[in-house]
Amino acid sequence: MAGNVPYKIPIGPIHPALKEPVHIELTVMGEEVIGADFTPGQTHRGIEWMGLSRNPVQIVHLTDRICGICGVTHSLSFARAVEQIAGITVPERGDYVRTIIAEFERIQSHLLWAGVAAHELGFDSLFYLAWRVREDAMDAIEFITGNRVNYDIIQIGGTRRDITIDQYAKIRTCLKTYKDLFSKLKKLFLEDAVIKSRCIGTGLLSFETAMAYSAVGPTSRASGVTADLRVDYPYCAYGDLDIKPVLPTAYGKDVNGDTYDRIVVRIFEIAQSIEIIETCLDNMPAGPVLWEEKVVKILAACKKASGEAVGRHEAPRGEAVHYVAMDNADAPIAWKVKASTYSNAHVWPIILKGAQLADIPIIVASIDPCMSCTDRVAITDNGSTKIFTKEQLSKMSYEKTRRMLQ
Amino acid sequence: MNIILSAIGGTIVLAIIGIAVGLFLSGIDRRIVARMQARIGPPLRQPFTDVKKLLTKQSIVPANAIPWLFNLMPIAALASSIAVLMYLPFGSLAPILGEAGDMILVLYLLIVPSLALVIGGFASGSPYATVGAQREMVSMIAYELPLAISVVIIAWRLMAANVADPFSFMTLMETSVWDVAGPLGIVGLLLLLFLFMWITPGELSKVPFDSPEAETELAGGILAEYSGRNLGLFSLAQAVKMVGIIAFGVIILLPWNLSPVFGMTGAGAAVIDLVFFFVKVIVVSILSVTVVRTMMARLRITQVVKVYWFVFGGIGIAAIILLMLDAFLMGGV
Amino acid sequence: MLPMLKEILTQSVKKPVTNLFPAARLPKSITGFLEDVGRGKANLIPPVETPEHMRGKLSYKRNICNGCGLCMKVCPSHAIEQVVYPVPPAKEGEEQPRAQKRIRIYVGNCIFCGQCIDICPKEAISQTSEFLLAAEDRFAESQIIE
Repeated sequence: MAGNVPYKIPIGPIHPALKEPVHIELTVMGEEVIGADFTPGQTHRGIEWMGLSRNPVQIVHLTDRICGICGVTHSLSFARAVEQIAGITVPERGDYVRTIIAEFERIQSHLLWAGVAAHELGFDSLFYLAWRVREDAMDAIEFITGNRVNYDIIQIGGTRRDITIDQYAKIRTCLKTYKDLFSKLKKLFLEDAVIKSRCIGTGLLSFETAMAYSAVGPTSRASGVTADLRVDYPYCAYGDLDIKPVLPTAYGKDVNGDTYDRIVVRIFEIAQSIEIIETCLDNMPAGPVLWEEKVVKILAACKKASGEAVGRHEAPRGEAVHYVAMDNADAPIAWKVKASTYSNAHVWPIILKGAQLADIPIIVASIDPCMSCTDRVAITDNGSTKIFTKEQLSKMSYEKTRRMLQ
Repeated sequence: MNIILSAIGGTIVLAIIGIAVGLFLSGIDRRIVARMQARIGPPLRQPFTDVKKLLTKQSIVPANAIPWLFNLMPIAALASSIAVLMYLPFGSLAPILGEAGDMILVLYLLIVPSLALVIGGFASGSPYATVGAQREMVSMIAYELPLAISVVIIAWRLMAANVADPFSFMTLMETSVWDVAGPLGIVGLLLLLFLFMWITPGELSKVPFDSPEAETELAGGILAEYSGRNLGLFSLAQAVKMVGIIAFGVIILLPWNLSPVFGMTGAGAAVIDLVFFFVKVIVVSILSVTVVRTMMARLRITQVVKVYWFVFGGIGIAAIILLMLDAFLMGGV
Repeated sequence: MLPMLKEILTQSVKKPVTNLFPAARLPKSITGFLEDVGRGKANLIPPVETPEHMRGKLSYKRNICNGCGLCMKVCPSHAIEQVVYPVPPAKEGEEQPRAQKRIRIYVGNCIFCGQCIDICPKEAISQTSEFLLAAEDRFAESQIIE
């Protein structure tokens, strides 16, 4: 090894291990990482700013484009926020359709993650397999919503399309495929000797750290945190369902909070999602799926609304939060998106410390980062970068509020 | 004078054959990997197209690099890989350099392309390449142990059977180690065969032992900064080295020829044996490179060392014990 | 230990799942190949089938449209613009007809959400399943619906 001098290895913003731009700087001694830091904000697109010049019915489809994988997460959170402000009640059937789509999204997102994780481990055969079986979920989603990626099925007050009786058969076939496949996936991901040796004990996130850093979703559940928005604050149809947060104990093992546990949680959540969709299909209530068929009336209701609200949804990666404030106008006066990765990314410096260089990709990927969802801010000032302190930031936000009130 | 001319001519022919077979091998490899992953894969001539394109492209030398070393290493790698072929007998064709070299020399020559990679990696002045080069050195140290064990014990077994000059390839062409070994020896040799199957991917830096080039960790590692002609030369060197290492394994452990079966002699026998030899090379490469790299994930460099030293080293020692016992029982010593 | 071994061996004897769209082997020239397909000289391997209600390119019936402009109000990507067609001056004694308001949809901007279809009071806009819409010029004839 080249002496004992620690040297810096940059990962990103563009790097084969990263599917989206984020900059991670590692201080490395030999093969061991002794320090890690990350800089988000490399893929800021100004979506919130775009939203402030559009009405909620337009934004709800804009939110679909925040993330390329969570096609329903952001639109559902946003719609739930606006519905609270405007006092709109979603019909029961609409809630069920929303739940089914959200769970299909969880299946495809977890399979996508599983493929990425396999690729990060250098296991391309498993990567191809996971992405191939993911196609079934994508097909089911396309069959229900009309698009594979940007579902655009959520509308303020419900969903835009219903799941008709004659669609049930095809959805059930898809679910059956996954049920048959589940044991194979379990075997391929959880029993492989190399995956085990690479993932057990790496990227350790203790229960305490997960709590202290407010990790969300599968990342926190793999550390034993029993937090799941679907259980804790039931919304949509989740209140009618009997679900428990999936912990690594589902596989009959102790909770370690390592990368392997995160794989376990995600694989078993696929099984849980299959069950949820089945139950929802069996218990679909009759009735409309949308609060108001006429989009003009939805627009009018949103225009009349004023107030602020927070819409939450347990996305495949964890809780996503949308804050919306409206004031008797077409466009909301404030819209803030907090994606799950924003909470999870802060554990990176901790779980990367002490890791082997070879395990960086899988540890980084193990929280299932989605940078496009997360990056809400980019600091540019004639090419130079500034770091703002907390005081400066609060001062700037007071000024912004004052400007808005004028 | 004539000898020198024929040696030069032979080298050129051998270089062309080596490169062609090597690229064809990687074409087959990519195709079969694709089929095992339920894909179709590129056409067999794809590696040729790739190299052709790389050779026409500009070679970029990074600002931090040491240019002469950076540019020299691809040539060194290719030259040394071709040099390996000159000491190896193909089928019933004697090596071009005849008696000049033996197995130990080939063992050393097989290290040179890897060393060239390491030096090239250090010379490119990128942190990725530096880490990759360090890993390549470590993995060289790792796989050399079981490789050396298997070569030495085979020669020893031949010596125990009173075969003269056991390290020479000429001896290996005439005497198969399988013929001198008894039942225990056969078991030992099967272990060595298994060992060789796992050394090959390490020597070629293929998954699961590809941590020096790990795409997702080091963005190509040693080769991160190489482009254009230099990268093309390195891929040629890699292709030739693949032929070299697999041929080396085939010569010492799968030495059979087809011509005695058909009772052929002369030029026909040489051609048949050559074809059969390359068939053996292809089969071995499919089993030890293609299948292995498709069914496994990448190992950490520390795990590579552990696996080679303790698991495969242990298997090697078991093979040594078996072959020694065998020699003792057969009364050779 | 290595469960993938069985999997890759079974997969290697099965048919690959790749869909060879648009041709089995890369043609010498893609545009030349597409021209050949247009002339019926070459066969296009069809893309993966899409379900019935796939949301593709919009289709617009200009004679039904009343130019109310509601679709512009809900279009998230501002892909729709209003076009005013002037009418010739009326003859003497007749009432001057109002200028004809219609819309123009830019496919390059459209995000295929289909919101305009939902809101259109006259059902002048509908969705087709056409999705092979790539073009070199965003203002080409195929990229503008009017």
